[in-house]
Amino acid sequence: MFYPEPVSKLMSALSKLPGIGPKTAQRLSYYILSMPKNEVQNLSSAIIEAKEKMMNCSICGDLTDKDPCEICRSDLRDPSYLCIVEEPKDVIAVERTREYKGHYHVLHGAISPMDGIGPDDIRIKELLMRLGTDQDRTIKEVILATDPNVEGEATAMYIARLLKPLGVKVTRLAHGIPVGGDLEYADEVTLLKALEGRREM
Amino acid sequence: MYVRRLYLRNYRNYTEIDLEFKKGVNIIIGPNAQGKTNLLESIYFLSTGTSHRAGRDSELIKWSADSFTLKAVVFSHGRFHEVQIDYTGKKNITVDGVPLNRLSELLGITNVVLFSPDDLQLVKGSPGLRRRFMNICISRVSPLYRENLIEYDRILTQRNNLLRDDGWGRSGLSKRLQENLEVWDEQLIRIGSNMILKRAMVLSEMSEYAKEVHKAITSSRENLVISYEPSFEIKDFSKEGIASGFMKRLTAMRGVEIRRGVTMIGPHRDDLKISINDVNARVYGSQGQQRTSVLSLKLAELKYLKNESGEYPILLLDDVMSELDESRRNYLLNFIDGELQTFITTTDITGFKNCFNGSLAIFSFCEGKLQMEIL
Repeated sequence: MFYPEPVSKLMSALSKLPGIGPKTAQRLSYYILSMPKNEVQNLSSAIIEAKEKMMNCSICGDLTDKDPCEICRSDLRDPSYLCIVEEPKDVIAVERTREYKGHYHVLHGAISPMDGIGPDDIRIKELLMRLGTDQDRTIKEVILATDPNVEGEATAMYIARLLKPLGVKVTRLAHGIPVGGDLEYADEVTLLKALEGRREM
Repeated sequence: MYVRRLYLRNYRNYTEIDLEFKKGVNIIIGPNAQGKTNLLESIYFLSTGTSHRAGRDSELIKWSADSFTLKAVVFSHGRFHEVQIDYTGKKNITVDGVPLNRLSELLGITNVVLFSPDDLQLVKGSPGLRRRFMNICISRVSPLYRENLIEYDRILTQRNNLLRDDGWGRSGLSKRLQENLEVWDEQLIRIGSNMILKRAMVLSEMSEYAKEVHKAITSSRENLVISYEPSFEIKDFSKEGIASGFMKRLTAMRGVEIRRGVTMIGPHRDDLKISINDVNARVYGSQGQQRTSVLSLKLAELKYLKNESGEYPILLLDDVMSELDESRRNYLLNFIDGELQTFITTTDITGFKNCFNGSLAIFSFCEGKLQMEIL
């Protein structure tokens, strides 16, 4: 069975999105076609508008509609902390804590030779420039919050080695068990990592 | 632990079969090419998530079908569990109805020790087979090892990609490449040393058991020693000792690794050494000695799994009785006691009728269909 061309075009466009397989693409396409025309117009203009207005902050690399971004411009943030994350969505995750008041640096990726991504392909040079222009040493601590996987670990290690000669304090996010849950429900790997990183009381 | 029920659909030569097994000894008897080994393979598959002989899972589908289903009711750790594997181009595994996120989570739920004529390769064959033996055995009882194995594999792939990358130039070691390699070296050494330490510890425990078994089989004539053979020099088998040896050799190998574009040392290049009376059994052992070594090694694996998990694994003996002489056969038959569920495939029942105090179930093929014989 063949779909009419406009439908198959819509489906193939939707199936390029993450988490959307052929079945979901079909469902979404038919749903969109059943929507009132003005709602469809709202959806399509919202996509275009978001794409046109959003950009990467020239300082931290986070997604923003104003350059520099709100966090980089704010006087309420503490400039002595710099948190390094892989993706803009990680900034949102750390922001949800509402406790971290420092600045960010978004790398836009992690070192991964199998994907052809080396240190020069992520925003490490920008990080070094940021620290290099920091003549009066306002940045006291760099927190490495890359993902806790093999690539995130390699990226953190690479940055830590680069920053060591600069004399700035470098820390790495701890691995641990989720708070608020029962210990018995933590998966064994998380528990093992937490055990490895235990602290004296 | 034991398998209570086994259900197969479109698996190998079985269209559909639903069998109930005895807690003790189950003998599957039949002429060649009936599906005896396929049945044992299906139990192995439910335990490990892979076949011990098929290269691809798709080979396991019955001709003309496009999917297969395996289901087993297994008694372990005090209660019954239902393990199900559906294959439709990819594997869907559930335990008690809950889907597993990763294949490796299946290991440890049902433990089996399989002994088949092909296992002679464990002594004679390539080191890869012996590493696979260690990896599967240890993974069954150690979640940390399982995790390390997956992580190590990932680190290795990343590091090899970096070594192969032509952007650095083959001629020499640039400072940039050195910097890039170091961050992978650190993880390779950390995770790799954990794995080596664990393997060496497990093997030294298994070696004790294997030595005992081997002594009993050979009337104390042969001294069997199983030891870990690392791909670099280790002066002392501690975490630090392994890591420092690893680091030293990795540094020395830098140039060679860059020329070849591959990681040359580490647990993925290690081996286990089987020696009889201080002579390497792989090189100098007779066929009979090699076969006996495998038997000792497998029974040592069984004891190790029992010690670690508190329960006997399930023993699968695929057509091995015909390959062993009388004294070895008797030793093996005496080893099987009531606690240990055992599956034996054979073409000839005569040797078994009087064993196990007659406490056994016999399954035979009737018009191509496997069923329990009423004794």
